Amino acid sequence: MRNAALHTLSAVDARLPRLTAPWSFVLCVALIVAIAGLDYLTGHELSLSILYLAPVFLAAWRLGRDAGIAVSMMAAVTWLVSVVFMGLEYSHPFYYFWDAAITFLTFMLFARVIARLKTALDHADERFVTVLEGLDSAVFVTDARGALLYGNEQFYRSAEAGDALLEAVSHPVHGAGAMMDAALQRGAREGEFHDAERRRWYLVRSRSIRWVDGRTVRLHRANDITERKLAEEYARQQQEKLQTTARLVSVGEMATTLAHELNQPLAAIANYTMGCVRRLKSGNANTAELLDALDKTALQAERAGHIIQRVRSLVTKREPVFTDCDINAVIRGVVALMDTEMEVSGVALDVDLDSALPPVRADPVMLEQVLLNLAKNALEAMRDSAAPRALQIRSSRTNDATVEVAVKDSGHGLPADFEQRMATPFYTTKPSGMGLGLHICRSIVEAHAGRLWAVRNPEGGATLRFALPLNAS
Amino acid sequence: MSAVERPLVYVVDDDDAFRDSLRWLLESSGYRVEAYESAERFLDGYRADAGECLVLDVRMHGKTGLELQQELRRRAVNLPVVFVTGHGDVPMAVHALKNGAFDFIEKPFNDEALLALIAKAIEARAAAQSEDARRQSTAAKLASLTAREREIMDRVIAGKRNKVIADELGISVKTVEIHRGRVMEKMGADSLAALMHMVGTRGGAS
Repeated sequence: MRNAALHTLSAVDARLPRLTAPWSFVLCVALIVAIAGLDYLTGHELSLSILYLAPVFLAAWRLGRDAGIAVSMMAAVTWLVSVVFMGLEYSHPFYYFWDAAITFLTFMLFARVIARLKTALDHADERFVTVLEGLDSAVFVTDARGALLYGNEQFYRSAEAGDALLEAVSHPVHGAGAMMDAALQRGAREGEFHDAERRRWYLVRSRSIRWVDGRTVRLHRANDITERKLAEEYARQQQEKLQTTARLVSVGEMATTLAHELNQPLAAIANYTMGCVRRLKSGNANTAELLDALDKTALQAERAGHIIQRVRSLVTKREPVFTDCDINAVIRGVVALMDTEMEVSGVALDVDLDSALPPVRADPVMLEQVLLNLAKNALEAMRDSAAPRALQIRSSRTNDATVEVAVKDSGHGLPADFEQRMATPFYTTKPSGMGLGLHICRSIVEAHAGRLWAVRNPEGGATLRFALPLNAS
Repeated sequence: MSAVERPLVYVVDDDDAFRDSLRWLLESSGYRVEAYESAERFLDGYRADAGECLVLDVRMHGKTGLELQQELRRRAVNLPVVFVTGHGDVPMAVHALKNGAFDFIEKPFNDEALLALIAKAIEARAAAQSEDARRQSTAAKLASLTAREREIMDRVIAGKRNKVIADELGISVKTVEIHRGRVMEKMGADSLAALMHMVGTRGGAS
């Protein structure tokens, strides 16, 4: 077992010389010889026989009962020899052996008691250690200076992480400890620790306990919570992605969906009213039936109204929040969002940003919506056109007062009357579009005191541009 | 018009309000209506010979209109289908037509247009059915002729006179006349023209 035992065992062991079994035995023999010599030198008046208990104890504790009994025997014989050499005389030789036998019995009883005690303690300790070693948590104890007193199997399993943990709890201010949650540094009971090097997260609980030697030490329990942390992080990212997606579909596509929905109540209204007309014309109208149908008609009109309200709340969902906004950052954000789509549709993207652009007073989320719509329109316009399909997004400063963004595609271009019709909501060049996206883009740009317009490229395709004033307030 | 004679139209649409309003419109126009909220419910509830037209929503939860149409085709149910489509569903409608739908109409629609479509669908189905029935009864009548009667009928239709027929078959003119009278009787034809119309293109055959 790598760890020093806890409790009594470790307290006793700490006071015994650290030797292997054979060397312990050698030490016992050496001690016996030394004690016998000393006893001989001091003469028979000063009995030192009690000192033999030391090697007996050492043998019984370290090497077990049988070794303890053997050493007891040796001690008793040695004692007898030393007594004979000292010339101590008894009235009858029987008393030599009687004294030697009593001494041996005493030593042997002592050895047995000690061995028994050691076994009992060992078993108790083994249970305790088995539980500790079996824990999933790393458990370790440090003293006031941060030195490791004990660490369980889990603590040592990843030696490097163990070191980092030890560092974290020992020197809370320096090194890895700086990563430790502030709560733990203040001596509180719980904190999270991030081992940046190995990318693991630990939940560390810590408290003061009285150690086997009476000192006050810290007991720490560290659980690896990396999996949980990763799961939490994943969930957070998914949520973010979801929100981004909701923003992506919010304008044009959502409007199309709502138009689909609007068809239902409108068709129902037409059916109810024309049914009433037919019954009235044919003269077989029943007032109660007609009233019922008209009630239902009104309900459907209400339903249509709710749908329209949803469109409206979608468009004017929020008041613009103006901040000093880096247009290039917004463009880069949108490009990142559209990355996959571009790759899938085989569009070559060229982003040309003027790095010296000053910040613009604008709502970055709304600008993102405008750019997304323009970029998506561009992709859609190029869907059926032959390669090479190219999308260019440019930012530039046109004069002292204006910043301009251009989204240029190589798609099917613009119809002849596009300029007049772009102002009209529900005008679209897309087979499945509703013609709301661009209209909303224009409203947003105008809310920024800017301007949105479209031009035909001489080489084909279209460029949508919007300009924002620099000193808008 | 008594209740029994009024034609039955099936409506399958998952929008409650639209389904109810369509029922109202069709009932106002003299149809009986059975309305179902899903393709599955319809398949459980319809009777193949009762309905004369199916007004079917293309987009539905569960089995779509197109899937229901295919299922009916698989079951060889002779029910003209008028599809109702929403905005932008035209490609789906074209697909439905290729699969043998009677026609489609885009929502929201003019009531006259829908009613005209339904009337045409029912008429077309009735025409197809009576043509079918006529063909079947003719086939049954033809089957009731004896071999000799059949020989004589084929020659009559080919425009041969009784004398020629008698010579060709080596029988007397009198016998030909008797057989000929029996053919007219069995076929239920009161004139040569009626017989020729009934047997139609089969005339020269055999």
